[in-house]
Amino acid sequence: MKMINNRRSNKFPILRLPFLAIEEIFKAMDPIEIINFSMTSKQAKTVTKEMVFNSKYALCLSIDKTLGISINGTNNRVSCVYGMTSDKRLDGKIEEDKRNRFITRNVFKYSNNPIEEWKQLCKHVLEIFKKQTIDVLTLYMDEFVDHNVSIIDFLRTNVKSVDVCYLFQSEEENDVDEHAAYLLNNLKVNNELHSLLHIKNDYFEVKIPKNLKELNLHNSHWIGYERLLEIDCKSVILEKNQISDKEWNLFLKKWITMETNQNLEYLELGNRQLDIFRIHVLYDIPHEVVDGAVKRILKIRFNQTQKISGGIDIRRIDGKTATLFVYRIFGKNRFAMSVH
Amino acid sequence: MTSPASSSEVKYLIESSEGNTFDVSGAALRQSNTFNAMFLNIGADGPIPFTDYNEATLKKVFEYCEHSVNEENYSGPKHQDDLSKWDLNFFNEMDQKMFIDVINASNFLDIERLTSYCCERIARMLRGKNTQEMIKVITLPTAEELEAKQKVEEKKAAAAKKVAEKAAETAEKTETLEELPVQQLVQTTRNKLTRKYLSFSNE
Repeated sequence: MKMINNRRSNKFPILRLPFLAIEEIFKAMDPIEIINFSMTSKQAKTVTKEMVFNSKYALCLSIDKTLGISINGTNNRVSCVYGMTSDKRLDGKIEEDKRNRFITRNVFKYSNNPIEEWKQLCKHVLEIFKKQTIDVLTLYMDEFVDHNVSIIDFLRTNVKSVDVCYLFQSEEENDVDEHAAYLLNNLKVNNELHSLLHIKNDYFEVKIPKNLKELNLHNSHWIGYERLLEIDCKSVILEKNQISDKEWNLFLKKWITMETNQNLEYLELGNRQLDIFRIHVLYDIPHEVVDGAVKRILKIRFNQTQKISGGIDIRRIDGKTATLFVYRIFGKNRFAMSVH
Repeated sequence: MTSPASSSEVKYLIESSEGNTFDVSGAALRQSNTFNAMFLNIGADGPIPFTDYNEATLKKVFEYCEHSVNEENYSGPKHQDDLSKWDLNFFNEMDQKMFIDVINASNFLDIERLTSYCCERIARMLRGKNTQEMIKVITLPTAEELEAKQKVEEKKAAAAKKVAEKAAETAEKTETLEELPVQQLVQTTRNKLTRKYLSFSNE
Protein backbone atom coordinates (compact mmCIF):
# COMPACT_ATOMS: atom_id res chain seq x y z
CA MET A 1 0.00 0.00 0.00
CA LYS A 2 1.33 3.41 -0.98
CA MET A 3 1.34 5.96 1.79
CA ILE A 4 1.36 9.74 1.72
CA ASN A 5 5.09 9.90 2.27
CA ASN A 6 5.57 13.62 2.42
CA ARG A 7 2.58 14.05 4.70
CA ARG A 8 4.11 11.48 6.98
CA SER A 9 7.22 13.65 7.09
CA ASN A 10 4.99 16.69 7.78
CA LYS A 11 5.71 18.56 4.57
CA PHE A 12 2.96 19.74 2.30
CA PRO A 13 2.93 22.30 -0.53
CA ILE A 14 -0.30 24.04 0.49
CA LEU A 15 0.41 27.17 -1.52
CA ARG A 16 0.62 25.16 -4.71
CA LEU A 17 -3.04 24.21 -4.40
CA PRO A 18 -5.73 26.13 -6.26
CA PHE A 19 -7.14 29.13 -4.49
CA LEU A 20 -10.54 27.57 -3.80
CA ALA A 21 -8.88 24.56 -2.15
CA ILE A 22 -6.77 26.87 0.02
CA GLU A 23 -9.96 28.68 0.95
CA GLU A 24 -11.45 25.37 2.08
CA ILE A 25 -8.37 24.74 4.22
CA PHE A 26 -8.78 28.19 5.79
CA LYS A 27 -12.38 27.41 6.65
CA ALA A 28 -11.14 24.49 8.73
CA MET A 29 -8.58 26.62 10.59
CA ASP A 30 -9.16 28.76 13.67
CA PRO A 31 -8.17 32.45 13.56
CA ILE A 32 -4.92 31.92 15.45
CA GLU A 33 -3.91 29.26 12.95
CA ILE A 34 -4.83 31.66 10.16
CA ILE A 35 -2.62 34.37 11.71
CA ASN A 36 0.26 31.94 12.20
CA PHE A 37 -0.13 30.65 8.67
CA SER A 38 -0.15 34.17 7.23
CA MET A 39 3.21 34.83 8.86
CA THR A 40 4.96 31.85 7.30
CA SER A 41 5.83 33.70 4.09
CA LYS A 42 5.05 36.75 1.99
CA GLN A 43 2.98 34.62 -0.36
CA ALA A 44 1.04 33.07 2.52
CA LYS A 45 0.20 36.59 3.72
CA THR A 46 -0.98 37.58 0.23
CA VAL A 47 -3.17 34.48 -0.02
CA THR A 48 -4.61 35.07 3.47
CA LYS A 49 -5.57 38.63 2.57
CA GLU A 50 -7.56 37.29 -0.37
CA MET A 51 -9.87 35.26 1.88
CA VAL A 52 -13.16 37.12 1.81
CA PHE A 53 -14.67 35.33 4.79
CA ASN A 54 -11.95 36.66 7.09
CA SER A 55 -13.75 39.97 7.44
CA LYS A 56 -16.66 38.29 9.25
CA TYR A 57 -14.53 37.86 12.36
CA ALA A 58 -14.75 40.44 15.15
CA LEU A 59 -11.43 41.92 16.19
CA CYS A 60 -10.91 42.85 19.83
CA LEU A 61 -7.77 44.43 21.25
CA SER A 62 -6.94 44.50 24.93
CA ILE A 63 -4.21 46.21 26.90
CA ASP A 64 -4.08 44.64 30.32
CA LYS A 65 -1.33 42.76 32.15
CA THR A 66 -1.21 40.71 28.98
CA LEU A 67 -1.59 42.49 25.67
CA GLY A 68 -4.22 40.62 23.74
CA ILE A 69 -5.56 40.35 20.25
CA SER A 70 -8.81 38.41 20.09
CA ILE A 71 -10.57 37.25 17.01
CA ASN A 72 -14.12 36.21 17.64
CA GLY A 73 -16.20 34.09 15.32
CA THR A 74 -19.52 32.25 15.24
CA ASN A 75 -21.46 35.22 16.63
CA ASN A 76 -18.79 35.88 19.24
CA ARG A 77 -19.23 32.40 20.70
CA VAL A 78 -15.68 31.34 19.86
CA SER A 79 -12.89 33.65 20.89
CA CYS A 80 -9.25 33.07 19.98
CA VAL A 81 -6.88 35.23 21.97
CA TYR A 82 -3.26 35.87 21.07
CA GLY A 83 -1.66 37.10 24.29
CA MET A 84 1.69 38.90 24.28
CA THR A 85 3.48 38.47 27.58
CA SER A 86 6.81 39.36 29.15
CA ASP A 87 6.51 36.29 31.36
CA LYS A 88 8.77 33.70 29.74
CA ARG A 89 7.10 30.85 31.63
CA LEU A 90 3.87 31.45 29.69
CA ASP A 91 5.50 31.19 26.27
CA GLY A 92 3.59 28.79 24.03
CA LYS A 93 1.02 28.05 26.71
CA ILE A 94 -2.45 27.27 25.38
CA GLU A 95 -5.52 27.57 27.58
CA GLU A 96 -9.00 26.60 26.53
CA ASP A 97 -12.03 27.59 28.49
CA LYS A 98 -15.53 26.35 27.69
CA ARG A 99 -18.46 27.96 29.45
CA ASN A 100 -22.01 27.41 28.34
CA ARG A 101 -21.93 27.96 24.61
CA PHE A 102 -18.78 30.08 24.70
CA ILE A 103 -15.29 28.84 23.96
CA THR A 104 -12.16 30.87 24.61
CA ARG A 105 -8.79 29.71 23.37
CA ASN A 106 -5.78 31.62 24.73
CA VAL A 107 -2.36 31.28 23.16
CA PHE A 108 0.51 33.06 24.92
CA LYS A 109 3.62 34.35 23.21
CA TYR A 110 6.63 35.58 25.14
CA SER A 111 8.36 38.76 24.06
CA ASN A 112 11.01 40.88 25.72
CA ASN A 113 9.28 43.87 24.16
CA PRO A 114 5.62 42.85 24.29
CA ILE A 115 4.22 46.27 23.44
CA GLU A 116 6.15 46.67 20.21
CA GLU A 117 5.49 43.08 19.22
CA TRP A 118 1.80 43.52 20.05
CA LYS A 119 1.67 46.59 17.80
CA GLN A 120 3.33 44.72 14.95
CA LEU A 121 0.97 41.80 15.35
CA CYS A 122 -2.05 44.15 15.50
CA LYS A 123 -0.94 45.79 12.29
CA HIS A 124 -0.55 42.40 10.64
CA VAL A 125 -3.94 41.17 11.88
CA LEU A 126 -5.70 44.37 10.79
CA GLU A 127 -4.19 43.89 7.36
CA ILE A 128 -4.98 40.20 6.85
CA PHE A 129 -8.49 40.46 8.28
CA LYS A 130 -9.03 43.67 6.28
CA LYS A 131 -10.16 45.66 9.31
CA GLN A 132 -10.18 49.41 9.63
CA THR A 133 -12.36 49.40 12.70
CA ILE A 134 -11.71 47.60 15.95
CA ASP A 135 -14.81 45.86 17.21
CA VAL A 136 -13.87 46.09 20.90
CA LEU A 137 -11.00 47.94 22.56
CA THR A 138 -10.32 47.23 26.25
CA LEU A 139 -7.70 49.42 27.85
CA TYR A 140 -6.40 49.41 31.41
CA MET A 141 -4.98 52.89 31.45
CA ASP A 142 -2.63 52.42 34.39
CA GLU A 143 -1.08 49.15 33.20
CA PHE A 144 1.50 50.51 30.74
CA VAL A 145 1.37 54.19 31.72
CA ASP A 146 4.63 55.07 29.96
CA HIS A 147 3.33 53.56 26.73
CA ASN A 148 -0.24 54.89 26.73
CA VAL A 149 0.51 57.74 24.35
CA SER A 150 2.41 55.53 21.92
CA ILE A 151 -0.39 52.92 22.03
CA ILE A 152 -3.03 55.59 21.38
CA ASP A 153 -0.90 57.05 18.58
CA PHE A 154 -0.55 53.58 17.12
CA LEU A 155 -4.32 53.09 17.18
CA ARG A 156 -5.16 56.46 15.66
CA THR A 157 -2.67 55.82 12.88
CA ASN A 158 -3.81 52.30 12.06
CA VAL A 159 -7.57 52.27 12.61
CA LYS A 160 -10.34 54.60 11.63
CA SER A 161 -12.51 53.96 14.66
CA VAL A 162 -13.52 51.69 17.51
CA ASP A 163 -17.03 50.29 17.79
CA VAL A 164 -16.99 49.51 21.52
CA CYS A 165 -14.48 50.95 23.98
CA TYR A 166 -13.96 49.87 27.60
CA LEU A 167 -11.67 51.98 29.78
CA PHE A 168 -10.49 50.68 33.13
CA GLN A 169 -7.87 51.38 35.75
CA SER A 170 -6.56 48.85 38.24
CA GLU A 171 -5.79 51.24 41.11
CA GLU A 172 -8.27 53.94 41.99
CA GLU A 173 -5.60 56.39 43.16
CA ASN A 174 -3.73 56.43 39.82
CA ASP A 175 -4.26 59.60 37.83
CA VAL A 176 -5.10 58.69 34.26
CA ASP A 177 -6.92 61.91 33.33
CA GLU A 178 -4.42 63.13 30.78
CA HIS A 179 -4.17 59.87 28.87
CA ALA A 180 -7.91 59.27 28.97
CA ALA A 181 -8.47 62.71 27.46
CA TYR A 182 -5.80 62.05 24.84
CA LEU A 183 -7.50 58.81 23.86
CA LEU A 184 -11.03 60.20 23.67
CA ASN A 185 -9.91 63.32 21.83
CA ASN A 186 -8.05 61.28 19.21
CA LEU A 187 -9.93 58.05 18.72
CA LYS A 188 -13.40 57.85 17.21
CA VAL A 189 -15.83 55.65 19.17
CA ASN A 190 -18.84 54.56 17.12
CA ASN A 191 -21.26 52.64 19.32
CA GLU A 192 -20.42 52.22 22.97
CA LEU A 193 -18.16 53.86 25.52
CA HIS A 194 -17.90 52.27 28.96
CA SER A 195 -15.64 54.15 31.35
CA LEU A 196 -14.79 52.81 34.79
CA LEU A 197 -12.03 55.35 35.21
CA HIS A 198 -11.61 57.39 38.37
CA ILE A 199 -11.16 60.81 36.86
CA LYS A 200 -9.51 63.17 39.33
CA ASN A 201 -10.30 66.51 37.76
CA ASP A 202 -13.84 67.79 38.39
CA TYR A 203 -13.45 69.96 35.29
CA PHE A 204 -12.12 67.14 33.12
CA GLU A 205 -12.13 68.47 29.58
CA VAL A 206 -12.76 65.77 27.04
CA LYS A 207 -14.69 65.27 23.83
CA ILE A 208 -17.62 62.99 24.62
CA PRO A 209 -18.50 60.99 21.51
CA LYS A 210 -21.94 61.83 20.15
CA ASN A 211 -24.67 59.55 18.82
CA LEU A 212 -23.49 56.51 20.77
CA LYS A 213 -25.79 53.62 21.43
CA GLU A 214 -24.41 53.46 24.96
CA LEU A 215 -22.48 55.93 27.08
CA ASN A 216 -21.74 54.43 30.48
CA LEU A 217 -19.75 56.59 32.88
CA HIS A 218 -19.43 54.85 36.19
CA ASN A 219 -17.70 57.82 37.82
CA SER A 220 -19.26 60.84 36.22
CA HIS A 221 -18.69 63.54 38.86
CA TRP A 222 -16.99 65.59 36.15
CA ILE A 223 -20.18 65.76 34.11
CA GLY A 224 -21.82 69.07 34.90
CA TYR A 225 -25.01 70.59 33.60
CA GLU A 226 -23.44 72.09 30.48
CA ARG A 227 -21.82 68.76 29.56
CA LEU A 228 -25.09 66.97 30.23
CA LEU A 229 -26.82 69.11 27.60
CA GLU A 230 -24.16 68.21 25.03
CA ILE A 231 -24.56 64.46 25.40
CA ASP A 232 -26.66 63.06 22.59
CA CYS A 233 -26.65 59.29 22.97
CA LYS A 234 -29.37 56.66 23.12
CA SER A 235 -28.53 55.04 26.44
CA VAL A 236 -26.70 57.04 29.09
CA ILE A 237 -25.53 55.97 32.54
CA LEU A 238 -24.16 58.71 34.76
CA GLU A 239 -23.22 57.14 38.07
CA LYS A 240 -22.03 59.31 40.95
CA ASN A 241 -22.79 62.50 39.05
CA GLN A 242 -22.84 65.86 40.82
CA ILE A 243 -25.71 67.37 38.91
CA SER A 244 -27.95 69.30 41.29
CA ASP A 245 -31.73 69.04 41.60
CA LYS A 246 -32.07 72.48 40.08
CA GLU A 247 -29.97 71.38 37.10
CA TRP A 248 -32.00 68.20 36.61
CA ASN A 249 -35.09 70.38 36.65
CA LEU A 250 -33.65 72.58 33.91
CA PHE A 251 -32.48 69.57 31.95
CA LEU A 252 -35.93 67.95 31.97
CA LYS A 253 -37.55 71.19 30.86
CA LYS A 254 -35.14 71.40 27.94
CA TRP A 255 -35.78 67.74 27.11
CA ILE A 256 -39.55 68.37 27.12
CA THR A 257 -39.13 71.27 24.72
CA MET A 258 -36.78 69.16 22.57
CA GLU A 259 -33.82 71.46 23.12
CA THR A 260 -31.49 68.71 24.26
CA ASN A 261 -30.76 64.96 24.04
CA GLN A 262 -33.37 64.29 21.41
CA ASN A 263 -32.04 60.78 20.76
CA LEU A 264 -32.22 59.76 24.38
CA GLU A 265 -33.97 56.45 25.05
CA TYR A 266 -32.62 55.56 28.51
CA LEU A 267 -30.93 57.67 31.18
CA GLU A 268 -29.65 56.55 34.56
CA LEU A 269 -29.37 59.48 36.89
CA GLY A 270 -27.70 57.79 39.87
CA ASN A 271 -29.18 56.46 43.07
CA ARG A 272 -32.18 58.57 44.02
CA GLN A 273 -35.61 58.14 45.54
CA LEU A 274 -38.58 58.73 43.29
CA ASP A 275 -40.70 60.65 45.82
CA ILE A 276 -37.89 62.97 46.78
CA PHE A 277 -37.01 63.55 43.13
CA ARG A 278 -40.64 64.41 42.46
CA ILE A 279 -40.67 67.02 45.20
CA HIS A 280 -37.24 68.54 44.54
CA VAL A 281 -37.06 68.32 40.75
CA LEU A 282 -40.49 67.95 39.22
CA TYR A 283 -42.19 70.60 41.34
CA ASP A 284 -42.91 72.87 38.35
CA ILE A 285 -42.90 70.28 35.60
CA PRO A 286 -46.23 68.74 34.46
CA HIS A 287 -46.12 65.04 35.33
CA GLU A 288 -48.33 62.09 36.09
CA VAL A 289 -47.81 59.57 38.86
CA VAL A 290 -48.62 56.14 37.45
CA ASP A 291 -50.39 53.67 39.68
CA GLY A 292 -48.13 50.90 41.02
CA ALA A 293 -50.55 48.31 39.69
CA VAL A 294 -49.81 49.43 36.14
CA LYS A 295 -46.99 47.35 34.65
CA ARG A 296 -45.21 48.36 31.48
CA ILE A 297 -42.27 46.97 29.56
CA LEU A 298 -39.60 49.65 29.61
CA LYS A 299 -36.09 49.92 28.32
CA ILE A 300 -33.38 49.47 30.97
CA ARG A 301 -29.58 49.14 31.00
CA PHE A 302 -27.61 47.49 28.21
CA ASN A 303 -30.44 47.70 25.71
CA GLN A 304 -32.59 45.28 27.73
CA THR A 305 -36.22 45.64 28.75
CA GLN A 306 -38.00 44.90 31.99
CA LYS A 307 -41.56 44.96 33.31
CA ILE A 308 -41.77 48.06 35.52
CA SER A 309 -44.53 48.93 37.99
CA GLY A 310 -45.80 52.50 38.18
CA GLY A 311 -43.33 55.38 37.88
CA ILE A 312 -43.78 59.02 36.97
CA ASP A 313 -44.53 60.07 33.40
CA ILE A 314 -43.50 63.31 31.77
CA ARG A 315 -44.33 64.21 28.19
CA ARG A 316 -42.27 65.81 25.49
CA ILE A 317 -43.86 68.31 23.13
CA ASP A 318 -43.77 65.77 20.28
CA GLY A 319 -45.88 63.34 22.31
CA LYS A 320 -43.06 61.03 23.48
CA THR A 321 -43.29 59.92 27.10
CA ALA A 322 -40.46 59.50 29.58
CA THR A 323 -41.09 57.36 32.62
CA LEU A 324 -39.00 57.97 35.73
CA PHE A 325 -38.72 54.86 37.88
CA VAL A 326 -36.52 52.91 40.27
CA TYR A 327 -35.51 49.31 39.58
CA ARG A 328 -32.94 46.92 40.96
CA ILE A 329 -30.17 45.37 38.94
CA PHE A 330 -26.75 43.95 39.95
CA GLY A 331 -27.70 44.33 43.63
CA LYS A 332 -28.28 48.07 43.45
CA ASN A 333 -31.25 50.37 43.02
CA ARG A 334 -31.09 52.43 39.85
CA PHE A 335 -33.04 55.61 39.24
CA ALA A 336 -33.76 55.80 35.56
CA MET A 337 -35.69 57.56 32.87
CA SER A 338 -36.96 55.49 29.96
CA VAL A 339 -38.35 57.12 26.82
CA HIS A 340 -41.14 55.39 24.96
CA MET B 1 -22.43 5.64 -25.15
CA THR B 2 -23.80 8.53 -23.14
CA SER B 3 -27.38 9.50 -22.65
CA PRO B 4 -29.25 12.68 -21.80
CA ALA B 5 -31.18 10.88 -19.08
CA SER B 6 -30.13 11.49 -15.48
CA SER B 7 -30.88 8.04 -14.15
CA SER B 8 -28.28 6.40 -11.92
CA GLU B 9 -28.27 3.47 -14.37
CA VAL B 10 -26.78 5.64 -17.08
CA LYS B 11 -23.06 5.41 -17.66
CA TYR B 12 -21.00 8.26 -18.98
CA LEU B 13 -17.68 8.02 -20.75
CA ILE B 14 -14.89 10.10 -19.24
CA GLU B 15 -11.77 10.98 -21.18
CA SER B 16 -8.48 11.47 -19.31
CA SER B 17 -5.33 13.38 -20.27
CA GLU B 18 -3.85 10.19 -21.77
CA GLY B 19 -6.83 9.99 -24.13
CA ASN B 20 -8.13 6.91 -22.34
CA THR B 21 -11.83 6.58 -21.65
CA PHE B 22 -13.67 4.82 -18.85
CA ASP B 23 -17.23 4.55 -17.51
CA VAL B 24 -18.64 6.44 -14.57
CA SER B 25 -22.20 6.12 -13.33
CA GLY B 26 -24.57 9.06 -13.59
CA ALA B 27 -25.16 8.88 -9.85
CA ALA B 28 -21.45 9.28 -9.13
CA LEU B 29 -21.05 12.05 -11.67
CA ARG B 30 -23.96 13.97 -10.19
CA GLN B 31 -21.77 14.72 -7.15
CA SER B 32 -19.79 16.99 -9.42
CA ASN B 33 -21.43 20.39 -9.60
CA THR B 34 -19.38 21.15 -12.69
CA PHE B 35 -20.83 18.09 -14.41
CA ASN B 36 -24.34 18.94 -13.21
CA ALA B 37 -24.09 22.42 -14.65
CA MET B 38 -22.80 21.20 -17.98
CA PHE B 39 -24.14 17.83 -18.92
CA LEU B 40 -26.66 16.39 -16.53
CA ASN B 41 -29.79 17.53 -18.28
CA ILE B 42 -28.53 17.55 -21.81
CA GLY B 43 -26.26 14.52 -21.97
CA ALA B 44 -22.97 14.42 -23.82
CA ASP B 45 -22.28 13.46 -27.38
CA GLY B 46 -19.16 11.33 -26.98
CA PRO B 47 -16.73 11.12 -24.09
CA ILE B 48 -16.64 13.98 -21.57
CA PRO B 49 -13.14 15.47 -21.82
CA PHE B 50 -11.59 16.00 -18.41
CA THR B 51 -8.26 15.96 -20.18
CA ASP B 52 -6.38 18.03 -17.66
CA TYR B 53 -6.32 15.07 -15.27
CA ASN B 54 -4.79 11.67 -15.71
CA GLU B 55 -6.75 8.44 -15.62
CA ALA B 56 -5.48 7.37 -12.21
CA THR B 57 -6.56 10.66 -10.62
CA LEU B 58 -9.98 10.68 -12.25
CA LYS B 59 -10.57 7.05 -11.32
CA LYS B 60 -9.60 7.84 -7.74
CA VAL B 61 -11.97 10.80 -7.62
CA PHE B 62 -14.86 8.82 -9.09
CA GLU B 63 -14.07 5.88 -6.83
CA TYR B 64 -14.90 8.24 -3.98
CA CYS B 65 -18.04 9.45 -5.74
CA GLU B 66 -19.22 5.89 -6.44
CA HIS B 67 -18.65 5.00 -2.79
CA SER B 68 -20.59 7.96 -1.46
CA VAL B 69 -23.52 7.61 -3.86
CA ASN B 70 -25.74 6.19 -1.16
CA GLU B 71 -24.59 8.50 1.63
CA GLU B 72 -26.96 11.15 2.85
CA ASN B 73 -26.86 14.58 1.32
CA TYR B 74 -23.66 16.41 2.10
CA SER B 75 -23.99 18.77 5.06
CA GLY B 76 -20.52 20.16 5.66
CA PRO B 77 -17.23 18.45 6.45
CA LYS B 78 -17.12 15.66 8.96
CA HIS B 79 -14.53 15.76 11.71
CA GLN B 80 -11.62 13.60 10.66
CA ASP B 81 -12.21 11.42 13.71
CA ASP B 82 -15.67 10.65 12.35
CA LEU B 83 -14.45 9.36 9.01
CA SER B 84 -15.25 5.76 8.24
CA LYS B 85 -12.60 3.07 7.86
CA TRP B 86 -13.22 3.14 4.12
CA ASP B 87 -12.65 6.93 4.01
CA LEU B 88 -9.44 6.63 6.01
CA ASN B 89 -8.14 3.88 3.75
CA PHE B 90 -9.08 5.93 0.72
CA PHE B 91 -6.95 8.85 1.93
CA ASN B 92 -4.10 6.79 3.33
CA GLU B 93 -3.65 4.86 0.10
CA MET B 94 -2.65 7.99 -1.77
CA ASP B 95 0.88 9.32 -2.03
CA GLN B 96 1.29 13.07 -1.84
CA LYS B 97 1.31 13.63 -5.58
CA MET B 98 -1.90 11.70 -6.02
CA PHE B 99 -3.44 13.53 -3.03
CA ILE B 100 -2.67 16.90 -4.65
CA ASP B 101 -3.95 15.73 -8.03
CA VAL B 102 -7.15 14.51 -6.39
CA ILE B 103 -7.65 17.90 -4.67
CA ASN B 104 -7.09 19.70 -7.95
CA ALA B 105 -9.48 17.44 -9.86
CA SER B 106 -12.07 17.51 -7.10
CA ASN B 107 -11.80 21.28 -7.00
CA PHE B 108 -12.28 21.53 -10.77
CA LEU B 109 -15.19 19.10 -10.76
CA ASP B 110 -16.60 20.96 -7.76
CA ILE B 111 -17.19 17.87 -5.62
CA GLU B 112 -17.84 19.61 -2.32
CA ARG B 113 -17.64 16.59 -0.04
CA LEU B 114 -14.33 15.28 -1.35
CA THR B 115 -12.73 18.73 -1.57
CA SER B 116 -13.62 19.67 1.97
CA TYR B 117 -12.52 16.31 3.42
CA CYS B 118 -9.17 16.67 1.67
CA CYS B 119 -8.81 20.27 2.84
CA GLU B 120 -9.87 19.47 6.38
CA ARG B 121 -7.16 16.83 6.34
CA ILE B 122 -4.56 19.40 5.38
CA ALA B 123 -5.83 21.90 7.96
CA ARG B 124 -5.36 19.19 10.55
CA MET B 125 -1.65 19.13 9.73
CA LEU B 126 -1.47 22.78 10.84
CA ARG B 127 -3.67 22.44 13.90
CA GLY B 128 -2.26 24.00 17.07
CA LYS B 129 1.03 24.92 15.41
CA ASN B 130 2.85 28.23 15.74
CA THR B 131 4.40 30.02 12.78
CA GLN B 132 7.79 28.35 13.08
CA GLU B 133 6.21 24.93 13.31
CA MET B 134 4.01 25.70 10.32
CA ILE B 135 7.02 26.73 8.24
CA LYS B 136 8.34 23.22 8.79
CA VAL B 137 5.07 21.81 7.44
CA ILE B 138 4.55 24.06 4.45
CA THR B 139 6.73 23.52 1.42
CA LEU B 140 7.15 27.01 0.07
CA PRO B 141 7.05 27.22 -3.71
CA THR B 142 10.06 28.59 -5.56
CA ALA B 143 9.78 31.35 -8.18
CA GLU B 144 10.01 28.69 -10.90
CA GLU B 145 7.22 26.72 -9.30
CA LEU B 146 5.04 29.80 -9.05
CA GLU B 147 5.62 30.44 -12.74
CA ALA B 148 4.80 26.82 -13.52
CA LYS B 149 1.63 27.12 -11.41
CA GLN B 150 0.61 30.15 -13.41
CA LYS B 151 1.06 28.18 -16.64
CA VAL B 152 -0.97 25.29 -15.25
CA GLU B 153 -3.77 27.67 -14.32
CA GLU B 154 -3.73 29.11 -17.83
CA LYS B 155 -3.81 25.60 -19.27
CA LYS B 156 -6.74 24.79 -16.98
CA ALA B 157 -8.59 27.85 -18.16
CA ALA B 158 -8.08 26.72 -21.75
CA ALA B 159 -9.30 23.22 -20.83
CA ALA B 160 -12.34 24.66 -19.13
CA LYS B 161 -13.06 26.69 -22.22
CA LYS B 162 -12.79 23.53 -24.30
CA VAL B 163 -15.22 21.71 -22.00
CA ALA B 164 -17.61 24.64 -22.11
CA GLU B 165 -17.41 24.71 -25.90
CA LYS B 166 -18.13 21.02 -25.98
CA ALA B 167 -21.15 21.61 -23.78
CA ALA B 168 -22.30 24.43 -26.00
CA GLU B 169 -21.89 22.20 -29.04
CA THR B 170 -23.98 19.50 -27.37
CA ALA B 171 -26.51 22.08 -26.35
CA GLU B 172 -26.88 23.23 -29.92
CA LYS B 173 -27.68 19.68 -30.95
CA THR B 174 -30.41 19.44 -28.36
CA GLU B 175 -31.79 22.90 -28.92
CA THR B 176 -35.09 21.55 -30.14
CA LEU B 177 -35.64 20.03 -26.72
CA GLU B 178 -34.74 22.85 -24.38
CA GLU B 179 -33.21 25.61 -26.42
CA LEU B 180 -33.26 28.54 -24.08
CA PRO B 181 -32.58 26.81 -20.73
CA VAL B 182 -29.60 24.92 -22.18
CA GLN B 183 -28.03 28.07 -23.53
CA GLN B 184 -28.54 29.73 -20.19
CA LEU B 185 -27.04 26.69 -18.52
CA VAL B 186 -23.96 26.80 -20.70
CA GLN B 187 -23.59 30.53 -20.17
CA THR B 188 -23.91 30.08 -16.41
CA THR B 189 -21.28 27.36 -16.50
CA ARG B 190 -18.99 29.47 -18.62
CA ASN B 191 -19.38 32.35 -16.23
CA LYS B 192 -18.70 30.09 -13.29
CA LEU B 193 -15.59 28.63 -14.86
CA THR B 194 -14.37 32.06 -15.90
CA ARG B 195 -14.78 33.28 -12.32
CA LYS B 196 -13.02 30.22 -11.00
CA TYR B 197 -10.07 30.57 -13.31
CA LEU B 198 -9.84 34.28 -12.90
CA SER B 199 -9.41 33.60 -9.20
CA PHE B 200 -6.62 31.13 -10.02
CA SER B 201 -4.79 33.53 -12.25
CA ASN B 202 -5.09 36.27 -9.62
CA GLU B 203 -3.20 34.20 -7.08
